Amino acid sequence: MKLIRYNPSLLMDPIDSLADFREEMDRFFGHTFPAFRGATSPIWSTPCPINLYREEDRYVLRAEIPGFDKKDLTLEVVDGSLILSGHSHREDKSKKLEESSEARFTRTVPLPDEVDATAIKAEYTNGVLTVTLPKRPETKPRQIAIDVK
Amino acid sequence: MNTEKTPSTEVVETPVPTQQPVYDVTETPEEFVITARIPGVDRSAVETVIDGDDLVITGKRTWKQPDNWKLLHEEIPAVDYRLVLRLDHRVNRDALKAHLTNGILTVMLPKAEAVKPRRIEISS
Repeated sequence: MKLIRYNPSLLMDPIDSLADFREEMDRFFGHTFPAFRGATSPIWSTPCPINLYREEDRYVLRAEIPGFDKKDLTLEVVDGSLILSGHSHREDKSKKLEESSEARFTRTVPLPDEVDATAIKAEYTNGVLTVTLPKRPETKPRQIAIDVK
Repeated sequence: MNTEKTPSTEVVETPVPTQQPVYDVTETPEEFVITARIPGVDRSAVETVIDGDDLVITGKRTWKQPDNWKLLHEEIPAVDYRLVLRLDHRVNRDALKAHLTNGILTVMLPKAEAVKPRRIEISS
C-alpha cells in the first residue's frame, strides 16, 4: 500500500483548490494534447467571480464573465435565488486556428427577502454583468411622522 | 515561474501588486495569438506596449465603487491587470495588432519573415 502524506493546505479552501486543479488539468491537457483543447473546456465551467454591493434602495451585483455575447447569458429568479448562467459556442471565424471555443458557467446567488424580483435589471459591458436588484418599496426605510397632541 | 506557454514566450515576474489575467497563447503558421481575460476594462484603458524584449499588457479597471455603496461580498479584486510576456526573434514587433471584445483582449503577433514556413524550389 502506498502512503500519501496528509496535506492540510488542500483542505484550506476546497473550492479554490478545486478551481486551481481544474485549471491546471485544463492547461496540461490543452498543451500536451492540443486536440483535447476544445474537448476539455466544455466539461469544466468558466469561473464567475461576483461582488455584491448595497445601496439605500437597491443591491448591485457585478459578475466578471468575459467572452460572452449578451444573447448567451441567462438570468432567472428561482425560489428566491438569482441564477446566472451562460453558454457560448463559437467557431473561429478566421479559420486560422483549427479550434472552436466553448464556455459555460452557472452561479446561484441567494437573494435577500427584500429584493423585488419583478424589478431586476441587468446589463453586460466589457465582460462584466451588472445586475440591479431594487428593494421592495415597503422594505425601504421610511420616516413615520408622529403627531404630537 | 516555469509556466512556459510556447517556445516564443516566457512569463516575466512583475513586482507590482497587480492581477495577472488568465491568458492563452496559440500559434498558427503566420502568427502567435494571445488572448487575455480582462473583464471590467474599457477599450481606452488598455495599453499594449513593447518594452525592450517584453510585451507589456496593462488594463485599468474602469469601474470604481461609489462612496455610498457598501461592499457585502467580494471575489473581484480592485486591482489593475498586468501581463508581461518575453518576445523572441520569431515575432515581427512592428506589426502587432490588438482588439478587445466583451472583456477578452486578443493580441496578434505576426511571425518574422525569417521563421515563416516557406517552400523551397528544387532546381534540377
